[in-house]
Formats: sequence, C-alpha cells, structure tokens
Amino acid sequence: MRSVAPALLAFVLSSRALAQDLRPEIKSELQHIEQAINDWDIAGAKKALVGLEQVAPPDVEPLQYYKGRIAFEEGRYEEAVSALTAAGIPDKPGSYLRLAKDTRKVMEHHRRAESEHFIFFYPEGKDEVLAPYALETLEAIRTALGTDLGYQPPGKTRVEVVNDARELAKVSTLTYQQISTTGTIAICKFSKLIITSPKAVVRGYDWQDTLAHEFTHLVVTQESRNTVPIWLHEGIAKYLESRWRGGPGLSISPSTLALLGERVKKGKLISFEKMHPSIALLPSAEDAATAFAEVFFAVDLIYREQGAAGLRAIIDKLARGAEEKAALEAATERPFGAFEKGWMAHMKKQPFPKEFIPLSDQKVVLKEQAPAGNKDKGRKGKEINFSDFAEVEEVGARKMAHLGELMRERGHALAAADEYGKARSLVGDKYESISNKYALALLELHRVDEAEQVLQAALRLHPGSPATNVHLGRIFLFKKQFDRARVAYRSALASDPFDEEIHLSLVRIETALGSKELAQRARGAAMVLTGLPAEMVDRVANTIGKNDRPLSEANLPTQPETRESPESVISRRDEPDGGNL
Amino acid sequence: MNSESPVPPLSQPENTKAPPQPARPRRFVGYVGLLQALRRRQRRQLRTEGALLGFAFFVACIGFSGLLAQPSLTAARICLMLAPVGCLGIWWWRGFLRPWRLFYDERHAARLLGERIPELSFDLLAAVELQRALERTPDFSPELARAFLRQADNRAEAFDPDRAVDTRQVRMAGIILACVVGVVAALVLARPAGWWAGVSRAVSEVGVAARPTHRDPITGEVELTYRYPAYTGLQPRTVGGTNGEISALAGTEVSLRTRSDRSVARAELATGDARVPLQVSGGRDLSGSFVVSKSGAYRFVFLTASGRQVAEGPDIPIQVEPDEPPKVTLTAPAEELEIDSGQKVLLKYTASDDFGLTSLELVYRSPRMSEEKRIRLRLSEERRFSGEYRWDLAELRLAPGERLSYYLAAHDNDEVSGKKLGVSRTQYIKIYSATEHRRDAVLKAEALWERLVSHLSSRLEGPDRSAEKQPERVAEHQSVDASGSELCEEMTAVGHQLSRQRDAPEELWAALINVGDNLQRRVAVTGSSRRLFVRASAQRADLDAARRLGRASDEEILESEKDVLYLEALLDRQKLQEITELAKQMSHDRRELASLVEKYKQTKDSALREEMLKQAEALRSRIEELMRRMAELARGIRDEHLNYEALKDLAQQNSLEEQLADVQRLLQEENADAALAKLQEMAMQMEQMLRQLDDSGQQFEGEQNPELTAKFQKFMDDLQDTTHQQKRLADQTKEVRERYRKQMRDRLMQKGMAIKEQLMKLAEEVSKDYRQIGPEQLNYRADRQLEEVQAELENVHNALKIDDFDLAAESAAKAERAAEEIAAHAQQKPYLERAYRSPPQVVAEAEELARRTAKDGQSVREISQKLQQLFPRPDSMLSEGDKSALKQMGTEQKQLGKKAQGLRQQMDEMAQMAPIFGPDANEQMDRVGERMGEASQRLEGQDPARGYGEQKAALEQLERFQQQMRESQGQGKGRGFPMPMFAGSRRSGWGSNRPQEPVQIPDPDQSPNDFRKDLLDAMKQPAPDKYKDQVKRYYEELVK
Repeated sequence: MRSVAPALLAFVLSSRALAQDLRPEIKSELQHIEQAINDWDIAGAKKALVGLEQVAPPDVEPLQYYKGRIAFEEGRYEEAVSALTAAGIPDKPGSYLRLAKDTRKVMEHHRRAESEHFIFFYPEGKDEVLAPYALETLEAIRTALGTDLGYQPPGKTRVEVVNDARELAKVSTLTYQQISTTGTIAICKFSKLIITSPKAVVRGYDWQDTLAHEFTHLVVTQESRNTVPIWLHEGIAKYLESRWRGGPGLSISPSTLALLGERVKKGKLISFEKMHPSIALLPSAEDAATAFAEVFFAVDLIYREQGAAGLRAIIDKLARGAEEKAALEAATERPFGAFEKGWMAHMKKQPFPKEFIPLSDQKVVLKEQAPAGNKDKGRKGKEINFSDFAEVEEVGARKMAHLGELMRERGHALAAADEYGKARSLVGDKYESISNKYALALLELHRVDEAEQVLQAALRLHPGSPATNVHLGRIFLFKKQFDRARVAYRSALASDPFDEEIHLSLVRIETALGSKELAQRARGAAMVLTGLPAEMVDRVANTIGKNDRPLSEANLPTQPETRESPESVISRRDEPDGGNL
Repeated sequence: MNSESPVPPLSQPENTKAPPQPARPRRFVGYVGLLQALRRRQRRQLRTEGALLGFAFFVACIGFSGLLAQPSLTAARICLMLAPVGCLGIWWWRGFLRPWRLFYDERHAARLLGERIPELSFDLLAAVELQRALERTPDFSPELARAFLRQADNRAEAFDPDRAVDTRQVRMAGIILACVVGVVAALVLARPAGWWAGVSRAVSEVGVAARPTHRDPITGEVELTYRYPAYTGLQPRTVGGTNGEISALAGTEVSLRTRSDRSVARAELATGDARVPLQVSGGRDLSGSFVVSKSGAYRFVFLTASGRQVAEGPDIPIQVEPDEPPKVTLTAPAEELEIDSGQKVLLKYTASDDFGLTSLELVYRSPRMSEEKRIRLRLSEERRFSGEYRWDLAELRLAPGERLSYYLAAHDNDEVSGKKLGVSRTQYIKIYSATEHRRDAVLKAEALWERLVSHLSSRLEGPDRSAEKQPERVAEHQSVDASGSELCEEMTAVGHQLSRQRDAPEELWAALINVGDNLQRRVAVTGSSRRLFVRASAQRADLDAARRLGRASDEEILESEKDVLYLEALLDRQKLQEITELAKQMSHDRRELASLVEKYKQTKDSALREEMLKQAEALRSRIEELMRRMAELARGIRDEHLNYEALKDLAQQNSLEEQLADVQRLLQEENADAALAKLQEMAMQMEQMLRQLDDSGQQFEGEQNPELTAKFQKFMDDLQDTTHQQKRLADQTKEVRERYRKQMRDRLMQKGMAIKEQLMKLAEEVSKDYRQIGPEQLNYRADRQLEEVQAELENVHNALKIDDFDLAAESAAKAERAAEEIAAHAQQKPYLERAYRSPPQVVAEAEELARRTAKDGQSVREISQKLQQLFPRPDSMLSEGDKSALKQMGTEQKQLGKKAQGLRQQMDEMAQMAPIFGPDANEQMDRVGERMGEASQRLEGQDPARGYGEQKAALEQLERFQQQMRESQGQGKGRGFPMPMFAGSRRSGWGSNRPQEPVQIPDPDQSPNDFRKDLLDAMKQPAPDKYKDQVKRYYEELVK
C-alpha cells in the first residue's frame, strides 16, 4: 500500500488536470489528504477533502480521485467507481478503479449484519451463521483493546467476508499466487477487515481469533498512524488476539511453542535484524513461524513487565515519530541490548512441550488446492479418511493408523482400536488424526471414558482442533455435562463453523442450560446449515446423545429431499462448494 | 312248483283286509304286468349300455385314427370307417340282439325276478308255468291253480319291478366310456395339431380316394429335354422313356415329345390354368415346351379340331428344384481372437454354391464405426472356393481393448429369382489391451487383499491373544484357521496363474505368491497351537499352550499386517500407473486432434473439418471416460500421500473438459488458430499433470517405507559385493585347478588308458551276470541293490567309454557297495533254505547263487579298486605354492560363506517388514551358503577341481539371484520401493515379457558327478534315429 500510494499520487499530480496550474495551497492540501489516507485517518482525509472542494474547481481530477479513494475506504464502492472513472484512472490490473470495480462486484450480493460498532458483510448462504458469532467476537475484542491500548476506532468498522482466495485477491492488492503460497486468509486494509470464509479452507481455521487479530492490526495501525514495524505489529496482534475470549497470550499453539523450544535448544533463533523488512520474506515457513513466536514472546515480556501500558507507550512513541529501538527502550525503560537479553531469558523459561509437534495443523489448506476427495467430504458419517495420516512422519505409526482406518472402514472396531492403539503407543498424542480416529474406534466399542482420555490428551497438544472438540463434545453431551460440552463445541465452532453437528448440539446444550438467546442463535445457524425448520431442528437436537447410535458417528438427521426451501437451495447452489452438508 | 313257497291259506277270504300297504301308483296289473314291466326296463337298460359302449368305440376309433395317420394311413382310415359301423354294431348287439335272446320268453323274466326279489322266490315262474299248463289240459286242480295265480297277481302288484333291474352293466359301460373319452382326450390334447392333421389327412385322402379321377393315360412315354438357365452353366439334357414327371430348376425350359394313343386333331398341355399348345404331327406325335416356374402338375389334353375337349390325361407332377444360397464358412481363426495392435490376421474360409458365386466380401464393424465396412475378397473358383486372406488391421487403427466383429458374405449368381446371400458365422477380434489385462490382475489381487484384511481383523478380534482364554471360543476360531489357510492357497494359486499371463504385473503376482507361502506357515502354526491349547485345556494339562497360542497369533498378525500394507502399496502403485497411462492416452488423443486442426488450417478442406469435429467429439467422450476411470482409481487409492496427490492431479483435469468444450466451440466457429492455442494450453496442462503423476509415483515409493528401502538397498549392495568377491575367488581357484587338471589328464592318459578296455570288458561281464539273476532268486530286499548294481556298472562302462575315469570310479564305488549287499543276501539264502527244510535241489541252487554273487562282488571290487588307484591324493599333484594358495583361498571362502549367511539374515530382517522374498528366494540363498561351505572344505582339503566347481555353482546362484532381484525391481528409478522378488520358476513361452536369456551350459566342474550322471542317464534314452549321431556327439562334447 505504501509503495503503491506515492506512485499513484505522482500519477495524479502529473495528470492532465494538474497540468493546469493548481494553486500551491491546493497541492499542499491534496498531499495532506494523501497522507491522511496513508495514515488510515479516513475521517481526517474526508474533512480535508470537503474543505478542498469548497476552494478548488469541482472538475479538478485529483479531487475526484481522492473522493473515489475515500469512498472506497468507506465501502461506498459505486461512488468510488464513478469518482475514479471521472478522475481518469485507468481500468487496469492494480489500479484503484479496477480494485473498486472488483470489490463492487464481489460485494454485490453480500448481506449485512450490524452491531454497535461493526458492520459484517457476508456472502449469501451458509456464511450467515458467522454473523452473530463474528459480531460478538469483534465487539469483545474492541472492548478489550480499548482497555489495553486505549484506542477504539471511531464509527462502525466494516468487516467483509469473501468466498475464497480468488475473491480475496480481487479485493486486496495481493495476487492469488501470493495468497496461496503464504496462506494468507485475512487482511486488514483499506480501513476494513477482509476475511476469507472458513468454507474455503479444508479443515477450517481459527476464524474468530483471526478476526480479533486483524482488528488488533486495525487498532494498532490507526493508533500509531501506521508507524509500527511489521514484526511488532504481528507480535502485538498475535499476543492480543485472544483477548476477546480471555487474557492475552493464549493463542500461541503448542506446535509453535515446540518449534521455538527446538530452536532455542539449538540456538537457531531469528534475530530482529533478520526480521526486516518482513517476516514473510524469511527463507522458510519454519523460520517465519519461529520469528512470529519470538516476537510474540517479546510482546509477552513487555506485557508482563510493563502491562498494557508498555504496549501503549511503544505505539505512542512510534506514532510520534520515534525509532523502533528508541520506542522500545522508552517503553521497557532499559537499553535495547538489555531488553534483548531479557527477552532471550524469557523465551528460555517457557514450558516448551517435550515432544515435537508437527506444524501441519497450523497450515491453512485452501479447498481449491486440496484434492477432490477433501474438498467436499459430504456427510460426516464414520469420518473415514486415509489422507488424514499424511502428516504422520513416523512410518510405523502411520502404517498402524492406516491399518486401523482399514479396519474401521470395514466395521471392525475392535481390530481398529488395536491398530490405533499401536500407532498411538509409537507417537503418543503428537498427531490429532491418530488420537481422534483411536477415540472414534473406542467410542464405537462404547469405551467412552478411554476415548475421553485420549481426546483430552490430544487437546493438550492441539487445543483448537475442531475434530477433537466435536468428539469430546459428543462425550460430554452423552454424559450430560452440558457446560463442558458447550466449551468443546464453541471451541470447535471457532475453527469449523459450518459443521451442522456443532450447532445442533449447541441447540440442545443451550436449551438444557436455559440460555434461550444462545439456543435461538444456534437454532438459526442449524436451520441455515441443515435446511430444516425450527421445530425439526429442535426435535433432532433433542435426540442428540440420547438414542442408541454409537458416539463414533455424528448423530445427524437424514436429509429428506423436501426439507430445503427453494430459496436456500438456489442460494447454496451458487456457492463454490455447493453447500457442505 | 316250489313247495317251500309260503302259500297263504286258501280259506282266507278274498276280501280279508290285507295289512295296510303304502299307497303307490299302480303301474301294472298282476304278475304278468310285473313281468312285462321288468322286461321293458331290462331292455331299456341293455340298449343304454349298448349305446354307451358303441359310443365309446366310436370315440376310441376317431381318436386313434388321428394318431395312427402318421405311422399308417391305412390303419387310420380303417379306424375312421370302423367308428360308425362298430358303434352301431355294438349298439345293435348289446341293445337289441341280447335282450331279445334274454327276454323273449316270460319264464326268463320270472326267473330273474325270483333271483332278484327273494320274497317272490320262484312263485312267478310257477305262475307262468301254471298259466301255460292251464291253457293246455291241466292234470291238476284248475281252481287251485287259479287261486294261486290270483294270489300271485296280488303279490306281484306289491313289488317294484325296478328292484329286479340290473343297472351294473350300464354303470360299467358308462365307466368304460368315460375312460375311453379321457384317454382319447389326453392323447389328442397332447398333440392337437398333429391329431387334427392326421384326421384331416385320413379323411381327405379318403375323400380323394373316394373321388378317384378316372383319367386314363392318353399318351405313351414322354421324352423330356431340359434347357437350364444360362447362369447355371448346365448343358441341355434329354431324358427319354419317362412318365412325364418333371424335376428342374426354376427358369428351365422343358421340351416334351410323346405319342398319343389315338389320332387327335389338337393337343395341349394344361398347367394349372394355363394351356400350352402342342404340335401334332402325323396325327399322334406330339411335341411342345414350356418354362418351369413353380412346382405343380400338368396334363395332356386332346381336343377336336373345333376345340372341344375329347380326352384328358392324368396329372403329371412338376417339381421345381431349389437353388440353394451360398455357404460360407470361416475355418480360421477362432470365434474370439485377441491380437496385438497392428498384427495381421490370417482368415481361412471356404465358400460354395450349387451354381456359382458372384461375390465374396469380408464385412466388419468396430464400435466406433457408424456402419459396416466391406472388403471384397478374391474369388478364383465360382462354385467351390477355399481361400485365405491376410487381414492387416493396422489400417483400422483400432485402440487397445477395442472389439471388432466380422463375417463373410457371399452372393450367388441366381438370375432367375435374384442373387441370394449366404453369410458365415459372426466372429470377433479384440485388440490386446495390456491395460485391461493388468486391470483384471489388479482386480483379482484386490479381491484377495480384501480377504486378507478380513482375515487380519478376525485375528485381531479373536480370542487367541486375550489373557484369559476361553477354550470354547478358542476352539470356535478353528474356522478362521481354515479360511486363512484357504486364502493363502488361493493367493499362491492366483499368483501362479497370473504369472503365466502376459502383462500381469510381475510385482503383484510375485507378492501374492510370497504372501501366500509365508502366511501359510504362520497360519499353520497358529492352527496347531490352537489344537494344542484345546487339547491341553480338555486334559487340564499345563503345556504352556495358552502362551504359545498367543505368541503364534501375534506373529501371524504381524505377518498379516505387513502383507496387507505391502500388497496395498503395490495395488496403489498399479492404480497410479494406470492413471498415468490414462493421462498419456489423453495426451496422445489431444495430439491427434491438434494435428488434424493443423492440417485443416492449411487445407481448409470441408471433409477434414467434419473429421476434425468428429475427432473432437470422440476425444471429449474419451476424456470423459478416462476421467471417470481415473476418478474411480484415485478414489480406490488409500495411501495417505498417493491419495492426496492423485486426487490433486485429478482435480486439475476438471478444467480439461472445459477447455475441450472451448476447443469444440472454436472449431465450430472455424477459428483454427484459437483452437490450436487452446489445444496448446491443454498440452501444457497435460504435460504438467504427467510430470506431477510421475513425481507422485516417485514420492510414493520414497515415502512408503524408508527403513525398508534403505535395508533393501544395503542388501543389494552387499549382494553385489559378495558376488564380486566370489567371482574373484573362483577365478583364482580356476588357475590352480587348470594346473592340477593338466597333471591329472597326463596321468590318466598314461595309466587309465592301459586298463580301460579290460575294465570295460569286466564291467560288462559282471553286469551280464547280474542280469541273469532273477528277482525271485534273491530276497526281495535285494531288488533295489540288484537294480543299482546294474545301473552303476552301466555307468562305469559308459564313463570309461568317454574316458571319464572320475565318474567311472565313483560309479564303481557305488556298484561295489551294492554288490556287497547282494552277496550278503545271497550268503544268507542257503542257511534259510536249510532252516525251511527246502528240497536239496533248492539248497544247492542257493549255494550256487551265493558263490556266483561272491565272485561277481569280487570282480566289482576289483574294478573299483583299479579305478581308485588311478586317482592319487590331489595334494600330491600340487606344488607347494598352489597348496599354500589353496589354503588361503579356503579361508577367504569361509569368510565369504559368512557374508552369504549375513545376506540371508538381511533377507530375514526384510521379510519381517514386507513379503519381498518367498521361500524359493530363501532356499536359493541357503544353497549359495551351502555351496560356499562345500567350496571352503574342498579348498582346505586341497581339491582345486571340486572346490572350483562348488565356487562356480555358488557364483552362478548368486548371479542368478542378483539378476532376479534386478528384474523384480523392473523399471523403477533406482532406489525406490522394493518390489517382491520373482518367486520360484518363471513362466516361459510367448507370454513372457522378460528378456529371453540364452541357455547356460553349466560348467563341467559344477556339481560334476551329478551333472555328468544326468547326462549319462540321458544318453541311455533312445534318440530318434535321425538325430542319434548328433545327440551322441553333443553329449560327448559336453562331458569332455
């Protein structure tokens, strides 16, 4: 963005309109508007533009250009297209006009949901289920960041959900290639949050944390007037992204911790210098993950020592134009070298997991890049899938797990449990796929307590795993431990919001716990996902965990052909994955 | 008169009131009336009976007439005629004649009444008699008689004449009629049409017979001249002295000449409605002609000059002979033939027709052809032709797996009723498709793999491994042992069966054989452990059987797990290969289309455009089909990585269909440039897909089992090293052996040749003597030795003949042992005979035999000793340097033997991970070890000849093993996933797709005695006369 803007400004200023002699004060005001936009101060830019409009001739093309820019930043895409066209901006790849047009097209049929401080735009169809949870998350992080960083964006923040990576490429300045290679799933840009729907990702992703993460970026950018370096930006966002659900610093994954532990042990950490200009430019994904973990703990150290005030101080200093090191030294009240030493010591103290956990569960795999078999798994059923074990590096364990899946596929639960047990004895809880399949085999044998133990152990290393949480949720529901079941299903929902089982189970749980409002929210989501009417959803939800069906299979309603309304069928047909029920 | 009849007292007044009788209508008066009533009823009964029987006869005759018409028309006609006559006759006989005879006299009726109505007894008969007596001059009291008669009248009126009527005969007749009707109906209904035809025939011919034409012949013998249609090529033919009957092909002109029996003015031939005038010459000679067109009849008609018919001759038949359609037969090849693409097919056929063939065509059609195509075949003979046609199918560009139907069609030359067509049986040619055969093999292997998975699950879920084993449950699992054993046998059998098939994936059948063999042993151990456990449990014996069973089951599970995974990996690999092959096919199709478009671009030929559009359409359907198949295959791949990769590649192909649709659209729009550009884009995508598939395959092989792959590679390296070392050592030994052999040869030439003739003669004499000993002369236990000594002496003779003193010595030693045993048996015989108190003559014969065998034994010993003396201790023939070298080589050979044992150990270790080696491979390596051990001993014993022989044998085993290993790994790119080693003997013949190796002539030093003995044994077999000398020379050359 920063690199694009000066070029565009130069283009604008050198355009035909400006060939006329603009008064110097107009030129200066135009540069002011440009700066305000770059500083994400859209309100300031808008104010300046209004002032300029009163003194400059209306047909001056730069005025139209900035009018278009501001309209685009504010989500008024139709106006933006008109104004940018009037400004003579060429319609070519990378231009603001093309961006505005593409965004207008992508957002053409989006629906909206609003809360006090956010407007959530989502594609028609099953993304509707995201809205209430997303708004809840965003309001919560806004409140928390207001407390921590002392800044809350003015007005209502736009949040736009796109269907897939291709759409993300269209509405951002990133190319599809960049998005697919870096695994970018959301961005904070043009004064709004843009997030890819979890339906575009094979196993879903922690979309609620991601929303909070991107909003933190927005807050930090606006508060600092876009002066915080990328590494620190990422550190603060990663550290504070869990604030919507509790304290800060909860979101680092055991696999990242394990990787950091390994690097600390080997003394192969990434220095701050190497993180410049961007962590994304580091030679390997492992280096990038290490760097993120390092900056996470740098922020953690500041937070632990100085509290949120420390972070506020850094942002404040940077906003005032201080250098990175100076800002850090001021905030930590010690020389940078001492901070670095302390930071190293702090990292070494961390309780790193003893086992090496693969980073595969952190990897975002887009459906369009996934094999056909993984794109649309259809109904969950017995959850037979051999490719789940591709992540298992230990050949012996992988083979045993494979045999287990062969047995399970053929209904030999006891034999399957035997094989999974052997696999697990070789690798422990390192792989959630093995643990989950083992638990499913045990559940088929009605060895519920054993299955719970296996899943709880897996959760320790893979806390956000939607599959593990769903399976645990089933067990808790079966045991009528509604509070625990709620936690499990909500955790699953935070990664995989389109699993109808989660919402149906939540209907039952919230009803049992007497939370009418939450039950209604879950019911609405279940209706969208299953196409069933409310009373049918209630009936199905009421049977979950009660009948004799084994817990190894999702207790989902059969899919009568008539149950969907024509509208829902039409709307879902337009979706890229045709509705993943 | 019957005095016993109760006669009422005469004094009883007539008006005495009789006991009240039931009122009944009076149907007759007095006894006479009763008798008349009875006679009437009886006659009615008999007529009814007669009618029923007559009708039964009628039905039977009518029924049988239809059935009899077939074998005998006369009989049928007789039946038909008899039917009404017999019917009436029976009725008349039974219904009229018989009643008249029975009932013409009242006395008969009175007697019958008396018999049937006991109350009346014979009173009525008495009354009839009295009445008749009264009418004459009675010699008794008439009053009394009249009183009796009155009384009889009164009594008679009280009885119903029906009581006396016998209805049994009518009933019987009714039954007979019913039976006859039933039988006839059944017979008729069984073949109603046949019956009706029979009846019709009998009736109609009866009718014809009834209306005989009374036409008399009016002409004499007729001379017929046939002029056949031109197409038949037949010469005109004249037949004299006929009755005029004509038999000719349709279209034949027939000329007739005859002479009338009277002078006539005019004459004609009447054929149906047509009339053909005849030429009359001399008043009586008639001639004329007509063309035969259909079968029928004709007759001669004489007319007056005014045209009035005066006489008409009988009908004379005209028979039109049929012109048969051509007969075409394909004699070769078989009805279903599978050939290689581009191969020529030799068709052999015969075609014939009664008058001539005009064309012969080969008609064929493939599924891709919209209509049948024809090839005109050469006809050198018109009537009967046997030919061959070498059909080059390459021109048809049939794809593998495509099936072509074909037949031969021939037309005859019938110009009269149109050319008739004759066709051969439709046959089929299928283009050999390696893919299909491989797919079939994969399907078979997959079915067995599925059963193996099931077997493994049964073992895992069975009771064998539980801590607390229940004997009943354990015993129940015997069925799993049986099914497991059966499965192993099937695996081995299918493996061998596939090994004989061309293009069946080698690794698959080799793996099946290995798995079958290896698992079979495990299953057997589990089974026997189970039986032991069950027995021990029943006897409450503590035999550690439970633990043994658990251990056996564990080991079997380990083996099965390994087998399941390995077979599955091979199946997945096959599927990936098929996907790659399909992708290549798609690529090839695309190239063809692109070339057509390119041509069209240059020529703008409209026909080419049509072809191009057709090709595009065909390509699209082909791509759809291929993609469907690929999707199926990809779904069937369960491997974690391969599945992912394969499906990913497949996902990319979805856009191919869209692109091809674009190409089709562009071709429709005649935008060849854009279409080519699109095709180029497709080409790049396909290239990328193929590359990725290739990479996937390599990645798959690398990821399958890195540990096993590494072990396997080490094994291959060690094997190579061992082979190399063995070769080096053998070469060194060979040098020493050459020196030794030279010395030996010199010695044998000097000493051996001197005694050769003598020993040969002696061996022959002794052998002859042994031959004269009958089996009954010795103890039966000596039979084997008797055979052996003769065989070995023959070997001695043959070996000496070809100067092989070494073999002669060995055979002589064997003969010596056998001769000693024979002598011992013969020595015992006289004692036994004496003990059994046999006749002295028998004892004497036994003593004579003992002497003979002792003497023969001595002779054999002498031969053996003389031959042994030819061979000094090998070390005595070696220099000190050679002795020292041999010692060193013996030590090295021992170490190499240990290395071979190490290889065997490595094989065992790998076998724990995958069924790469079968029992044969293990045996091969064991034999290598044995050979090496033997070689080591020989070298240490300073025997360079035999030492080298063993070394050479070990080396050849190793090289063969290595070669098999290399071939097993096939076209793999080096250090990939280990493939199973070819098990046992390989297939041979046309199906083998392995390189044809030249036959290796074993080195004479390799296993010298056994080998040479085999050769000598083979020499004993008679060779065909033609080859006798050659064979002899060949063997002699070999043994030298």
